[in-house]
Amino acid sequence: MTRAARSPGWSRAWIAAVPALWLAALFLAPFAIVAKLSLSSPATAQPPYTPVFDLFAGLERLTADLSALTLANFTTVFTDVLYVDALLSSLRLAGVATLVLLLIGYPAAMALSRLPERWKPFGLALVILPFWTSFLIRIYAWIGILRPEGYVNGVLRWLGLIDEPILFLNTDFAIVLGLVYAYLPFMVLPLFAAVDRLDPSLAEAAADLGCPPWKTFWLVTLPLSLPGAAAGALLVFIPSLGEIIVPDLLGGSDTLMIGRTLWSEFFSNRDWPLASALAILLLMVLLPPIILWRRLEARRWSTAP
Amino acid sequence: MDSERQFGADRRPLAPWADPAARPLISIRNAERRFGAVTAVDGVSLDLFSGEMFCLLGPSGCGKTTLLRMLAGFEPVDAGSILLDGVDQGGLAPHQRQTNMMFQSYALFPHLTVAANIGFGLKQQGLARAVIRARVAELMALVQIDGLAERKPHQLSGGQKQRVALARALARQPKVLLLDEPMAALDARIRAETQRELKQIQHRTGATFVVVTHDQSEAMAMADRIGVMQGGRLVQVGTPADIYERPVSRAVARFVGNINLFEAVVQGETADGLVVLACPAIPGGLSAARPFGQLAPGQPVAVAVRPERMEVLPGRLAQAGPNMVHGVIGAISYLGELTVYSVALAGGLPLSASAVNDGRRAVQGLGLNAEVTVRIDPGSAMVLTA
Ligand SMILES: Nc1ncnc2c1ncn2[C@@H]1O[C@H](COP(=O)(O)OP(=O)(O)OP(=O)(O)O)[C@@H](O)[C@H]1O
Ligand SMILES: [Mg+2]
Repeated sequence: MTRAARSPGWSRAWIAAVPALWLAALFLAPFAIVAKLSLSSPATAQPPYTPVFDLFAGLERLTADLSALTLANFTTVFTDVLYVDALLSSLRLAGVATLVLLLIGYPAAMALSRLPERWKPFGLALVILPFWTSFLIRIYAWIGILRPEGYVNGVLRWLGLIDEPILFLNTDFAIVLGLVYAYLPFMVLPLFAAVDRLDPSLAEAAADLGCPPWKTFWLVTLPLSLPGAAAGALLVFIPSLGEIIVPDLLGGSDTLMIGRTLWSEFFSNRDWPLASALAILLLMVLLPPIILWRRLEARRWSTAP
Repeated sequence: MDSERQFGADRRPLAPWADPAARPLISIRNAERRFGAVTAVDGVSLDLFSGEMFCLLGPSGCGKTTLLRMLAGFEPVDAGSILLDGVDQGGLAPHQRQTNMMFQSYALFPHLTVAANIGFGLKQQGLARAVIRARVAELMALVQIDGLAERKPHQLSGGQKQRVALARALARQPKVLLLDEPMAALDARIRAETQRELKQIQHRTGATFVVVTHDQSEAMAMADRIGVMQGGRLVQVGTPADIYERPVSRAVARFVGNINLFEAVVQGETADGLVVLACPAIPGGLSAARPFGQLAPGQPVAVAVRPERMEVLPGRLAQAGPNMVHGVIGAISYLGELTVYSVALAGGLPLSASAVNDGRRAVQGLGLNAEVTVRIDPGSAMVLTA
């Protein structure tokens, strides 16, 4: 074998190795650390957990450390209703936000795709425009809009529709609103990509065969853009589930969301092991929908032309 | 009327367009469609009759698709009107119209099976499932795709897709079926066969077919009538024979079939109804059949002669009188049933003439560079004023 004949194989190996290393460094290693933390016990020390592995302290010490690992944090997570409630309420709020986003995202994406070709980039730029301002500031601004003396209540009172201000702030409504506002672009962009790719003559054929517009959407546009909808739903559902800033700023003090609980376990209680166990739990909840989506995608590609 | 019989009327028992009492199924009246500065359809008026096969023929970009889409309701009518059965279609959305369309891209629903595609329109009518199934089976037999019911569109060949699209468009038994370049994606051999089948299907269903094509031989093969469009206007409507034998303008003559065009000037008329013309390309002079309408002496016109209406005779005939011209054969194309001779006339003008290879008459003296005399049949030379 000459070098020339071998080199394509080498370069191919490199091409495969780079993302693998990337994945190992940015995903697997942190995951291993979090997994180990979740099996540790909290301690008033620096770092605030035991055991701390020391690979150079001898085999005896290592086996002792390994046997000190415990599932106690997971027992706590599953038995203390606080954590299970936080998870369930997060699932509910993120689920509602995802549904609302689908309902808003479809008309928005379809309107964008119907723009004349030269206006499309402009329309898309408008969708992305909010990213130019800090996420924190934009959510903060909603406090001013929603609070009892805020703009919404002000307008409603001026119109004479209400006497007492409505309590928007610190409710689930405010959280869903914040999530919807924050993640709208992540829903609209994949939906737009899916809808814009569709041959417009398909919708025309449906209309020609007797479908009014809503039925054309239901029978043709929706099923053919489902992959985009799934991508958008995952893109907004996953970060919504672990969202910290939105529930912290817009939600009430009694609102439980798993991200916020995790945050306070980590920073307020300095219970790193418990926070890590929560993080692992969150990951486990998110895995099934991700795997399901991958499956659907794979099936779609195997049957597509 | 005599020529009407001669050229087309006896091929077809029925010619409602020639009957002033016949009621049209579709009336297009001065219809117009503009896209910004482009007027894609410009003042088109046309009556279409029940059960006819009408071909819209014209070069690319002349507005054929736009006119078809106006009939289907996908494009608004900016001015004028379209009536179906006497009812103005103006306010009707596509899903409310009694027309169906077969799309150039076929537009089959990729997520549905062949059977579901064909039954799609029937389902919207709220028919029972058993009825739909029976009707779908019937349609699949009609377009000869039995056995493909459970396939998805991406598992079909181009020809099969075309048939599914046709069956789907026929399913609702539309009064008018609109077909946008239905053969464009098929190869030449299947195309001829499919043209015949389409014509049979049209006869069997009794629907009015409006077929868009830019292929004149396809239009000639299928149509009862042809409408020639140019630059958004409908420039001539007539039977294939009308269009071929009596084109209204140089542009139509050039677009349909092969033709030789000579610029000429009117000199007068003979007693037996021929026009005498002075023609620089034909020094001996030219006489041609009278067209409709008035001709004035001195009027510049064009004379059009089809290649098969010229006779190529070997040698330079000395007594070359009117309608005879000398030349040299510049090229010979043997096309099987025909041989086409390109003859360079004395003035350098090219002329093309064809002869049927019927095998009985061995043509001698018609080799390359041979001196020949071309004779033009006066009855077949057309005088074009536009
Ligand atoms: N949606 C549109 N917007 C702007 N211009 C259009 C639109 N549709 C058609 N046109 C223009 O109208 C004219 C007629 O187009 P049309 O598609 O009807 O032509 P056609 O005869 O079907 O041509 P082809 O044989 O190439 O399909 C063209 O000049 C085209 O550029
Ligand atoms: Mg077209």
